[in-house]
Amino acid sequence: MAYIQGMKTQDTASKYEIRVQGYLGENAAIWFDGFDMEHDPAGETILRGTVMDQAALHGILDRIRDLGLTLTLVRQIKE
Amino acid sequence: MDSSLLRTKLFIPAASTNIIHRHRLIERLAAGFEAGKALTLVSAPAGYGKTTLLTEWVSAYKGRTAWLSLDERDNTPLRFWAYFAAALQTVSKPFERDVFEILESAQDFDANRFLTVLVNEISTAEQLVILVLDDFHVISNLDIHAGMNFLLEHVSPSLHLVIATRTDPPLPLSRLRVRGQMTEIRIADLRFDIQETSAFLNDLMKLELTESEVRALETRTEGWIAGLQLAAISMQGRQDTQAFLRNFTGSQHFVLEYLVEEVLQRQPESLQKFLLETCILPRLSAPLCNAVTDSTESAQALADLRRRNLFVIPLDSEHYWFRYHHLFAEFLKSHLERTRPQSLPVLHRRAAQWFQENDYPEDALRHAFAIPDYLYASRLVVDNWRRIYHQGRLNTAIQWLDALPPDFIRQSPPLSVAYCWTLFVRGDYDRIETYLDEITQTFEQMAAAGNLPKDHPEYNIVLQQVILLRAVVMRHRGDVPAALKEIEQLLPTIENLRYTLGNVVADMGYTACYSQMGYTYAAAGDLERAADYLSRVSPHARRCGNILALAHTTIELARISLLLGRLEQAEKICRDELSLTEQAAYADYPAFCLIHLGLANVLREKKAWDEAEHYLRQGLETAQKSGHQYYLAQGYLIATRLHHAQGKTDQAQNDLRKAEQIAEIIHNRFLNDAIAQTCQAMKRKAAPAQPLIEPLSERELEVLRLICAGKSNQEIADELFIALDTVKRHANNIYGKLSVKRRAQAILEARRLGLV
Repeated sequence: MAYIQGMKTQDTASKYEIRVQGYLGENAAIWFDGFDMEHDPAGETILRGTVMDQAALHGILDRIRDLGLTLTLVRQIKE
Repeated sequence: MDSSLLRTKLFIPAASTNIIHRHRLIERLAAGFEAGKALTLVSAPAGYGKTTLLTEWVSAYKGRTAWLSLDERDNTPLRFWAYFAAALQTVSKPFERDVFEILESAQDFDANRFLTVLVNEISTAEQLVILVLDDFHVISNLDIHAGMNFLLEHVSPSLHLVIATRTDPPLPLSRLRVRGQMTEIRIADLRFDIQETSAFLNDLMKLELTESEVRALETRTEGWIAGLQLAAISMQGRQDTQAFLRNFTGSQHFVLEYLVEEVLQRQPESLQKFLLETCILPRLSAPLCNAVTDSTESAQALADLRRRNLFVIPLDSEHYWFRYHHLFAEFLKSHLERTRPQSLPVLHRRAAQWFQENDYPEDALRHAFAIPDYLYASRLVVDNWRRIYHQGRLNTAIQWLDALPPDFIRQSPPLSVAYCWTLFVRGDYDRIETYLDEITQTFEQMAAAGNLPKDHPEYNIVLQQVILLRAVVMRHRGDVPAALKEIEQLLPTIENLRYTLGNVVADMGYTACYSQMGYTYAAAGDLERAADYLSRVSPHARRCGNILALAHTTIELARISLLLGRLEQAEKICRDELSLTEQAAYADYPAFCLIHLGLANVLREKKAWDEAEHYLRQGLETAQKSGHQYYLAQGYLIATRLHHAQGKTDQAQNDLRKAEQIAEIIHNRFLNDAIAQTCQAMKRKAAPAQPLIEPLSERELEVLRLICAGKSNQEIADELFIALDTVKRHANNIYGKLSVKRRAQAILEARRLGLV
């Protein structure tokens, strides 16, 4: 279902920025395969990467939820 | 469904004594429950003690509590509601109808219908039940959510639902909130405040921290219990507590990632290795861990982990199965993936092999998919589907096949055959033919390349199955002569298999051929030949263990013998099979209830009412115990006929209704046919006999008498000195005048009208 919804609203890959509280380390990089990871001075981790569609994005958000991370921002990066 | 693993999902996690008691929250939960609110929602991220809170509450509650720990595999309506019902049954009186196993035999699950039955069952329960659905966030299927909505709207006050989740479910929460029908516990309620943090660190973990140290930890973890717990474990037995605190509270690193590393480093090397190698397992037991870690120390390691409070949670009261806390396992897995990625496939393979050897095919498959090794997964499916299928667990078989990449099924003839049988039950004959054509093509290509595995048993079995499937499709399409031709060409090849591939393969072949010949001749109305072939099945079926075929052919044979007017023989067939079976190991196979039911049916014809009732009860009991709904429905149909024949009309109507209720849920084509036949038989018996609108001619009567004597068309032609085609024309005219479609029906009708 999520996949079908994703097809309607967005069926092409696009770039996203996701921020979570706390600095993620090398281990966490495995969970966000394909994302660049950066730490900002305010104590947040910035993840930037390309997702295939909305379903893939929601998969990543679920991952963030399941790891007990606090989400502070999700936005699409228009190029 | 394996009962020991089922139990772990329904096990109420033991309330630990080693916790901070949360009286304030418990009081809120209890108050909401006592006020008769419809729902308790505990919604917060992982690691906030949702499960612990609920176990503390329900262990103090003296009433009935059911528990269901959901996992990501439960995200299909069929499986979800099966577990839902199973959980309720752990505390309520057995449901009048076994709602649980309805599901395995369902071909096309009707959730609405099922829920209506469930709501009725729940509302007749005498006692109040609390049902906890833990980890509800794994459920994203919209049909399940719709079902939950329906339940919340319709369920009686005798069920109190508790949902523990990381994500708010799409239920009408704001409406429930406004109406005061929901108790809600959220992240702000669950965080440890400063008193609780202090009590936890100093009273429980005996860390002797100062007030400012406690405050620093509370601030750093924001009262996140999993974080505090790991921090405490990191500090236990450490000399330089202050250095740890300084580093940890000064770091901006994500709490858990930091702490898991910290905790892991502090374990003895052997335990580190154990943790990393077993974190891929969704559940752990000492023997399984021994296999995966290739050691013999796992029982000790698990005991060590429990002693050190390292997030090991028992899943049953015998402490055989455990699991790691999800968060802890996630971090261990990422550590493993980063440091030893090459070991992952090895570990999954060992796990798969252990599950395979210990006969948990479903779990073995899960690990085979994780490798991912589709060839291995395919082999597991090939090795196990037939047994699962013969047990009537059709939906499990379908799920396995659906999980494989479609190309793997198409490219593997044994898998294609398995898939075809699932299509057969769904009545999708067109697609069966597509698959059969592809198998033939594959074999042709292999033959052209000179690598046809001629001596391989599976190849020969596939060949047999392809021919049988073609014949079955033809028979169901009404092309009986073509079906017969297909099987007849197969029959002479089977004896050769005995010498090349052994007795079992040959017996499998004979079982399949003889039973299909029997069914096909029966469909053609040639009852004598049908009986002849069916009577040959039993010894072969017994030798190769195809109990399903044995039971089905026995009752078909009994039915045909009745049609041929051989009452004594029909009775003998059933009794012989029963006496052979009583000594056999498979006496409690669900399919055997068919033989009891078949005998009850024969005894009805004999008007031996008491004995018929006896076997009916026995058959129904077996069907109920095994939960096989298809057989149970067939049993109710036999009961309908039996009670109707005795003039017990109300009881008969009641039996028929029960069969119809099952049919509404499981959508089985064969069952629907059987119900239609029973209705017809009852109506006809009830109505006074009607003279035929168009009377039979002398010649037609002559032919009809010979048909009733069990003669084939050719024999009739010979006896009356007429052409075979003429006999067929007479037969067709007779069927038309009697308004029946088949020979067997014509015989019944002729007897009923007293024409023979």
